[in-house]
Amino acid sequence: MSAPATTLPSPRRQRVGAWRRIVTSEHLAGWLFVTPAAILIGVFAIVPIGWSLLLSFQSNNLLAPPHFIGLANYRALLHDPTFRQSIVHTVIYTVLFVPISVFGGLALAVALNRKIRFIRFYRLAVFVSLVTSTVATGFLFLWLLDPTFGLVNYALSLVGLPQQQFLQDPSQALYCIVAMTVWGWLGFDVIIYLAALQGVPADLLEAAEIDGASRFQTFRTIIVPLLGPTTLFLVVWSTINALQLFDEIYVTTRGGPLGSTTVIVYYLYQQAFQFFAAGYGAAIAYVLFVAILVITLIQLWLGRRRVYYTS
Amino acid sequence: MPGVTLEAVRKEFPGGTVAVDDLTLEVADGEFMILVGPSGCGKTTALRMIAGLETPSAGTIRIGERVVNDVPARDRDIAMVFQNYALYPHMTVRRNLAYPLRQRRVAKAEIARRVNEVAEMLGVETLLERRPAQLSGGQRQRVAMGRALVREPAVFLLDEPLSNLDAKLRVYTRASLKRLHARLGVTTIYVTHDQVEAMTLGHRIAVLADGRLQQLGAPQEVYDRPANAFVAGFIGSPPMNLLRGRAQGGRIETGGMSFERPGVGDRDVIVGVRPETLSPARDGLPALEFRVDVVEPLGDEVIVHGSVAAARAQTAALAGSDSDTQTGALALDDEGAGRSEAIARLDPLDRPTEGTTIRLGVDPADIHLFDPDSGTAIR
Amino acid sequence: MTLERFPPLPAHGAPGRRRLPFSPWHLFLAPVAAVMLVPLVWMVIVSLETEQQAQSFPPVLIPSGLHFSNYPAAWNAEPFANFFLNSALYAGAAMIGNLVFCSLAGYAFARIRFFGSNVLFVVFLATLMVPFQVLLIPTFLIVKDMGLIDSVGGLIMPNLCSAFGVFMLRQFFRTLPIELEEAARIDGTSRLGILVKIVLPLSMPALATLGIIQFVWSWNDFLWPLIIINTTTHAPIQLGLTTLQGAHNTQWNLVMAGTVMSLIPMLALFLLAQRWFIRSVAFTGIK
Repeated sequence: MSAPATTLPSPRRQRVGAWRRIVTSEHLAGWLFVTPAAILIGVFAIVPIGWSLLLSFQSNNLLAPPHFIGLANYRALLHDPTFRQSIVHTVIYTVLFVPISVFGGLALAVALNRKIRFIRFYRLAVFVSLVTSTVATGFLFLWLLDPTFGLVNYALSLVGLPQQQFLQDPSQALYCIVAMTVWGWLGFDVIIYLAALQGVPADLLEAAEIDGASRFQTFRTIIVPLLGPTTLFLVVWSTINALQLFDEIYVTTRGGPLGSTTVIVYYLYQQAFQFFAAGYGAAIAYVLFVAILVITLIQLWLGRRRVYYTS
Repeated sequence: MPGVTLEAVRKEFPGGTVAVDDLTLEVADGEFMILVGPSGCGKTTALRMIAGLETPSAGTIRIGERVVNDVPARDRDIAMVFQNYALYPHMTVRRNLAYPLRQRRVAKAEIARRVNEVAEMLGVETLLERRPAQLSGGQRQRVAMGRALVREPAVFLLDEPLSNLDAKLRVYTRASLKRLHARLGVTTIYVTHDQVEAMTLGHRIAVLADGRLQQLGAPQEVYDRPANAFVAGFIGSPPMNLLRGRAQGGRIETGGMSFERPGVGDRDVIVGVRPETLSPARDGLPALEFRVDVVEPLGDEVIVHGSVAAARAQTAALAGSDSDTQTGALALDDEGAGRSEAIARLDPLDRPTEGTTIRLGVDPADIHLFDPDSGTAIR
Repeated sequence: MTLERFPPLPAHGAPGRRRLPFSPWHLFLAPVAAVMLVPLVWMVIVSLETEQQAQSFPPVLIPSGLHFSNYPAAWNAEPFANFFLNSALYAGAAMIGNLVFCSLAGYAFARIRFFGSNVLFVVFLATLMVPFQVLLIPTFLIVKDMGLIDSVGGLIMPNLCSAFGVFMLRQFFRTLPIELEEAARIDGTSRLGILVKIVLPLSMPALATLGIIQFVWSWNDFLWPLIIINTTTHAPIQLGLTTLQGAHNTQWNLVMAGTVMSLIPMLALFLLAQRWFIRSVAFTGIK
């Protein structure tokens, strides 16, 4: 028996067939789906990332044509006392904000994770501050901490303590900002910790109880280690956000009094949009970017060695 | 070594569920007591009350002479092995074993000694530096036992410790448990839904259903003389055949057979016949008309599934427990409500043919009778 | 996951000593709750006071009358209607844009094997590592070149699609059983059809979460509007509030009234959709 003769399709047929394969292929479908996102993210994220780097090598006042100045902006930053001060302020803020909000969040989550009367009310009270925008929070505290008419000074006077200048006192303003932002963000940490606490298997806690651990020991030796990944996440997340502090500063102190609350991003805003030194501003932004990256990597590296992932 | 006593213990949960009702039980010092019953019978709740993880709504729990109702779990000198082992996932096996001792501030040298001793006893000494996630199910189970043993407690509580193991490992571990208990002699209370474990492991077993104690006694006694229809149907595998019958004039009739049993009166009864007591009919023995449906050869015996001409026994006590077996997984010819499934265990030489009807006889002394309303045995 | 369930704590319902008639936790939680609520309660009280009452020391804790007139006064002092409209457009468009474009891209990355998909996804993820301040100036220049300065369009454009949303939906889509989609493919449904008819209906929780996150974020956004909006006609609510405060910075009763108004939509969303709100916050921690 001989096999039936096969003939190849004509060259034209082959070309049409190949084209049809491409058109109906997965690759085209995939790219079609991805294109809108790719264009938007390309134009509004990828291009700016590169352009910003370029800007940082320029002297650019957003009006006249820019000219290339190499690393001059970065060298200027090194010697800029206001910039150095802004770094100090940002670091002080971060070093206070992160531990207070993360561990405060943990303490509150533990307290809220039980079945006592009014617990729904307590939880709501803690979560509600998440609803306030940074601007609203700023106004609330601006008024609460007003040196003349503020509620806080009134409360102090009732207890016989002296009146404070708060946001108008260069030595107090930054700490007031810490308090304000902790108030605004505590609910976030609490929600995340609450979810994590409820993920701890109940029989582990019972086993610890039977093994002789007191409530506190159970907390310290079982719950806290199991919450390790959550704690790491919150520390990293809070640090990144703290380093980018801006809104509350703008709304309350505008970087004052006497520049005592000028943080890095606020300084960037001033340079780029008030003094129109866009190149300088871009350089600040890149320095901030690298700082955030390095700090995050260090935190993750430290965390990896201490945090145990149950999976 | 103290024993454990429960007196009229009751547990009612908010919402009205009564998990344990009027449970009175005494576990002797050094005894291996098994609480067995279907899911939801209250055995785990009872165990948790003994452990101190739940408070009784009423009644007294004693460990030794001491009333422990208000004593927190950590002060009761008990140790528990959980069904899912509850090993601390972030600690190595060594630290898991050491944990109970560290909580009680035992000296470091003593901790090390005990941990090593227990690890060797259970065969996990090579696993000490691993984490629970890196262990197999059987290894985890042994570590969980080790963590309980390391404290040398007065009472040892086990909550279905074998249920997560595969069949082969279960058989092996059952034997190790028995050996361990023989060696250590600790009062042990063991919860399971598996009646094979109950029969093989316990000095005495307590059968529970719906929160109530159905029968308490040595395994053989519970098997030979079940106190009610529930216990009769629960203990023994394959389960006892329970059929509706009629007592009249000193004779009992069911499924085509009839035998003498004086002193019962004229009433409806439940007749219980264990599959292993059935054998091909001989003269002089009462015999059931048994229509063969499925034959399962097991090598040393055959299990014959079929039907008899009698209605299935249903009592209040039976309803709601393991109803899967009651509705029946076999397909039968439907001849109306007068037939129900039955099982027999025969010698392979007597293996019947599927589809035929055979007569299987039973010694009247092996037939159990129960009251159809209360389920209680009629003796 | 709901935070309404209470897991049993160590020896829950177990014996122990209790000295007080109530749980000692109240002693901790009650003051904390008070501290968390006082600023908000005070805000409402001040918003109902007259200017004299607001500007008095000691502060008037319980105003003699409720001056609801502060609200219309604040509304008219600055174009609040514009503020809310602009915010609604901004947040709404950003939310819808994200849901549409991130679904498309997320699905493609999750289920379609196409050339360059891995590289592209990594590039998307990399953009997440860069803080917004780096993008700020060039994005401003781009929007300026598009002629969208001082318009709601300029607010919306950079926020139509986020790499975060793409990542989140891709991860979620991958958890859905692929058999459903395969069955549809065999039946001849197009890829788009599968996405719309099968995958999206199953993804409601993730879509709701992403939608809420994006909506709330855009509603509360301040820095970007600050940079590109110059007039109150096109200002969204957060920016508008600062205009109010700038023009009336001694009339705190008005400012507080304006602030309360700005919070009402978010508060309403929170109270109505509490579960979704909390779930979307918790989600950022679970990723």
